[in-house]
Amino acid sequence: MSARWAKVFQENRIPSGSCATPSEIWEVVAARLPHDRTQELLDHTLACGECAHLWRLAHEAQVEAAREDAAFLRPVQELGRPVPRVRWLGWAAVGAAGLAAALTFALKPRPPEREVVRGQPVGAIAPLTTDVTLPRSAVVLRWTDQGPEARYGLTITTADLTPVDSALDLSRPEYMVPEAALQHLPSGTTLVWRVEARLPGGRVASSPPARVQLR
Amino acid sequence: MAEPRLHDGPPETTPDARARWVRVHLDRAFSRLLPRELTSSRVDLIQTAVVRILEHERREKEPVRTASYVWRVAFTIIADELRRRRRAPEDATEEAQLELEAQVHPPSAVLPGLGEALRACLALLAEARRRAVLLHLQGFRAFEAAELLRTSEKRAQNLTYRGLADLRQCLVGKGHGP
Repeated sequence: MSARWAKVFQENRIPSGSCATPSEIWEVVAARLPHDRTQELLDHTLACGECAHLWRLAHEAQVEAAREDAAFLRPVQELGRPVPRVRWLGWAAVGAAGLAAALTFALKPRPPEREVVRGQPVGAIAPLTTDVTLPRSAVVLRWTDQGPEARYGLTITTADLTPVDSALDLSRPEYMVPEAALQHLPSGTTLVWRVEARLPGGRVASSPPARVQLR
Repeated sequence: MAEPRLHDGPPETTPDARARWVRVHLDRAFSRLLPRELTSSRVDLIQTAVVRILEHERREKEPVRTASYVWRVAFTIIADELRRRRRAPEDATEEAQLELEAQVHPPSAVLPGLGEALRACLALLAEARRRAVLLHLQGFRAFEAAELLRTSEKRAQNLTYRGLADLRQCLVGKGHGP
């Protein structure tokens, strides 16, 4: 009976009222928000089918992520640290070090993640250099100007997502990729790039990924 | 070079190896979480996720070490995109719009009117029972509901059972009997 009710309840995806950001939904599902706020957001899911849907997605993601983390946080080797090769240290020591490393990471205070504010356009920057083939000596990426006070950050990868180059704190809406960063890439390589702008008042705008090909 | 296994930890040897590790976890996260209505945007959304992770690593000067962070990025990107599309339907193609309509307004519920009756009855439940039942209907297990409700697992179970009984009674009263 309750399975049928759950199915019916979950069919509703209609948004309603004032919703939390995805990051806040992630935090509440992880039981990391104050009790009052948790109750408020939970009550909201009764009327808001969209937020209820996002609660389920966040829950599913956290269950799966915890399973994956639990699998690889055990041994030190899988934390990317060298495994002591001296046998007498034994797995007990390895396990203890792994646990300590995991705890150190888990307990380290992290700065709050940047929020995407509801209603703010996502992908407000349009890439102007896209779907073209360029010589590696002249890969100049341009995007729509966001005003004189904007500061841009840029990330470039290959199509298989290997990092190629990045730049920070650019004041002009263009960037020339250094030839040295491209010299190891074969002709025909597709570059994927995306830019993010920090705007006055702390707002952030970003572009969708754009692609160019190396001649 | 061999592909990383799903449960491998994040390698720190080369950027290539790290990129592959991130990609493996992102692929899995998007395969699991991406709603049907966003399937056509999968590649772009994964690219956006990769770039966001790289930007995070550059900002923090520290590599991402947990799958949890990768899944969180996947979740927030999917959630942002879902909201963007639902609030800007004029950007959607006709096909995508029809798909979206079908998602938001499912053509046939299990029983006509049951959804409305269910929400109306939930609203009438005592607060603590309603919250426990909401979590139950959302797929949370008792220990997870207990954590969110700041109570014991046993009490969370009791609240759920009693709330479901109240809900059944209310639905019967509205003509939705067993």
